[in-house]
Amino acid sequence: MKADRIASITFIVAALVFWPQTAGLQYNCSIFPRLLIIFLLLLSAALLIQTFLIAPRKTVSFIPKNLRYIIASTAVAFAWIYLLNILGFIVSSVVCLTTLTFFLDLQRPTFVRTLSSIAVYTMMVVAFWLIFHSFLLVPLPTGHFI
Amino acid sequence: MVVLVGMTFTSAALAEYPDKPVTYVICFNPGGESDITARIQQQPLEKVLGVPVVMVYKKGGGGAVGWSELMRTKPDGYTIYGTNLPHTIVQPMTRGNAGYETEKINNVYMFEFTPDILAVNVDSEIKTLEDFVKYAKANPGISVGGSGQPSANSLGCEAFGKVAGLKLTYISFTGSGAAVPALLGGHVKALMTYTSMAAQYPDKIRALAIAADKRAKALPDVPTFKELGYEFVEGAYRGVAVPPGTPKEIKMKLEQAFEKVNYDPVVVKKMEDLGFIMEYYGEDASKELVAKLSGYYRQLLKDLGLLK
Amino acid sequence: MLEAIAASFGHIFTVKVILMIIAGLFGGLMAGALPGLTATMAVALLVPFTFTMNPTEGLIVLGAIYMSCIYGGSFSAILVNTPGTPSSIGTTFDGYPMAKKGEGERAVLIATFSSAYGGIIGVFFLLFLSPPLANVALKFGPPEYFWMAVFGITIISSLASKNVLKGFIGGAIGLLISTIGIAPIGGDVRFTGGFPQFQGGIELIVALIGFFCIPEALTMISNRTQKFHLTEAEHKGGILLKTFLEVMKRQGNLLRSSILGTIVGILPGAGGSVANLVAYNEALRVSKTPEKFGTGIPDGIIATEASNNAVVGGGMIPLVTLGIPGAPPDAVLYGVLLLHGLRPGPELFTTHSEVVYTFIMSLFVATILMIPVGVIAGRLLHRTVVRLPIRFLAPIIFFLTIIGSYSIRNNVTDVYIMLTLGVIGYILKRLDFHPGPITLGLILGPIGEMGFVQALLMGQVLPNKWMIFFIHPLSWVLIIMSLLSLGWPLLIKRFSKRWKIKEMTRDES
Repeated sequence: MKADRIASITFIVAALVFWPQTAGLQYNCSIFPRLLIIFLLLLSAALLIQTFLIAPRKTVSFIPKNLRYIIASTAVAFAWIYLLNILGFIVSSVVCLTTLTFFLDLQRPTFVRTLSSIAVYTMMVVAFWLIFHSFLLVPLPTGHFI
Repeated sequence: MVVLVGMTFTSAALAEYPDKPVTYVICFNPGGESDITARIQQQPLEKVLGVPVVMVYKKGGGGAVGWSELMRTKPDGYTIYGTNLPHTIVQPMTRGNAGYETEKINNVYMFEFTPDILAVNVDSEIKTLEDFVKYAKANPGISVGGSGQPSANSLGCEAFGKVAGLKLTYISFTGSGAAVPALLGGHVKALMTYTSMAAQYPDKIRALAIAADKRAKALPDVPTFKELGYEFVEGAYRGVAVPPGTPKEIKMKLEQAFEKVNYDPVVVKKMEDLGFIMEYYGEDASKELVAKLSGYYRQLLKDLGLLK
Repeated sequence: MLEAIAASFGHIFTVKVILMIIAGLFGGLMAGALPGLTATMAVALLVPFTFTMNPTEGLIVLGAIYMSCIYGGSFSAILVNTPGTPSSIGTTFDGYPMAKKGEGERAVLIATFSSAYGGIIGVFFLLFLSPPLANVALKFGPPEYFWMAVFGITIISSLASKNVLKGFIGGAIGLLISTIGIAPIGGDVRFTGGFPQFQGGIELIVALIGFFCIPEALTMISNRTQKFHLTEAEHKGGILLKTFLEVMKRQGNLLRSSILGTIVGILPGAGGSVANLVAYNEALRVSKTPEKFGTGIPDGIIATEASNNAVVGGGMIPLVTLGIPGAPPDAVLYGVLLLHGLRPGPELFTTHSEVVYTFIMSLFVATILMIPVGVIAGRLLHRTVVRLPIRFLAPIIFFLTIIGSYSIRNNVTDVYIMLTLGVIGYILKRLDFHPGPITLGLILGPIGEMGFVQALLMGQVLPNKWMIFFIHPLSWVLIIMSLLSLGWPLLIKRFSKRWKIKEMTRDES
């Protein structure tokens, strides 16, 4: 219930943030967003009111299990995107894929395990690179390496 | 000495241009008219340049997302961008930050011009431009559809309205391909669209007049607005540009390549059949064209109150 | 016409063409299964390869790619809860729960047979009923497109039946996000915060990948102690025939969904993304067990997959008769036709009849061949996903999302947006705001806004411009459908209570 309350208030605030940005626009450009913002405000207010009226049920906790792993993986993913244009597609992908697998391994990772993941991932990434870059001629991010 | 060595190195590199595939970026959807004209050029261009030409699509913001990336692309001549007028003139004027400036778009070649036409449904009771003017005077605010806003269609509609003293309601559609069904279904009364639409749907729409200096080959029976007494010329140009800072030799090579492609009879026939009018503006001529049109559009937008 | 059809078989049943079709089917399947590659992009990417072929062969290959791409989207929808193309969003609703129960192979087979059925129906209408149906498409003007968008949004009340309020909030969020960028009418820049990269708004595919893929990967990571992602069911022999018969029994659902898909395909501007959700909604509405939808029942998959493949044939109806593409990939096909000097329109059937009929008949052949190709590929994919531990699967999903979102516009910004939306989507999912309604809002926002503002402009000649929404009979059909769609779940709840009371009183007496 508390989560719902926070969510509905967040949406109300977001809607109020969007509203002033519609001020400088022509009528034709502002009417649809304005109607939507009003719609969102009404619905969020209804949700907020609902949290006070309905008795709280035992629901799944908002905080997920293994939160540290989720945050770490997300950080690696953002770093991965940043590295794409620095190290290039293949290198940054192999590095980040191996890092993630390393994190998520349930057993203690051994040298052999890590090496085999690097090998498998390199083959996979190169295969994708060949298909996209050489066959379909779709550009992939390039950096100092490839 | 160092300068000489430097120059020989660069000219050696340039002498080999192009030696890897060239990317031709279209800032619109695949299947649209910019895509079609580029594809008509693709194979002849590959023959002239001797390397594969790869199409890439970067749509968004009426082309602005692509053109703002053009500003940051490596100026090595291996990435060229399709450009459109009046988009590249009008967008920076009407938007706070389009991501690029008109003067920085380095057009190496402008290869075609698609004039506006005023068209009605082939079943419509309006048979000539005079009929339309009479009808519009009797029914102020009639709907005229077109592609994009601001665009050659929308600004053309405003300009024509001014010249003929009519009150027209322009209704923008996402692309000419969406405007034509609206006309055929009777949802709009007329279209201020491009000649290519009349060439592609000859049995469905009737072009009343064409906004060019002379008649189009694909539509020989359609009079120009000028002939009928209305001083109105408007349309879209298409060209190719390279990023700012591209070496002069590479630009010349591209300019010559596109000129050759533009004289290719297969290309000419395909383009003219689809209603496009061939143009042959080299790099310097393109600059003059853009400067001239910028002045015209700046005034028009000021009058309409759309200048930012 | 019949001689042309007979002649076309001669062109199609050659070794070369059949091999090309199969190659196209494989390619399209893989492209469809990869989230981020849409059918439009797959077709556009492979156009240059067709330059070396004659127009007929080129069209045949592109058609095969298109048909199988739409079908391929169901693979990732079923196996990793991520639609491979926007046309398979609805397949995640029942396909994924089925896979989680260990029935992934059955789900894939159901999707295969339904896709083939829908594809055939769509092409059937293309072949025999093109001219009259195309004219129906023209009757849809801006007010009708607006009401169609409204109808689409009312579907949320059935989709999010457990918490309608949250569903509609999600829809509103999706609609608002779709307004970011250049306004379709008037051209003003909205909500970009001064960043020119946002002028194009948020790309639908980027948001799709973000809202579906990333939360799934993060959920997998959250469940990392459970080593595998899906459980494998006991492999019983004869599942192929059994599932085939099971699907064929649901003729009502199959036929209705296919026809819905064809009709939505005919409308320019609406494609498989709208069709699959509308069909799902209708199947839910007429079902005797609506509460089972979303838990993993065949009817859910049948509705979405039959309708989205029917869009393939349906979208080509206005293309070949009027020269107006009915769905985005048809725009690319339109370009291909023009490039080869074949002008779409009624003359196409007379002057170039062999090309047209060969192409249409090849679609039939491709759809049928899609079944064995899909079964082989689908089974393989299913087995791989089941046997891959999470520590490999989750990173690979991240990898595919990066490729997918980058390849849309070759723009790293899109990848950042995708990941950011993914994190937001994960948080929203934990708060019980599901991605389905949000993506529905994203899809329908542009359609609805265009229709809305265009109609208001049209209405300026009327005494009251708001009247324009209520004067066409077609608008009223859509308005009534919207009201029904909105009110249905409430009516059901009322009726089921009454049934229950009747049952109870009967039991007591």
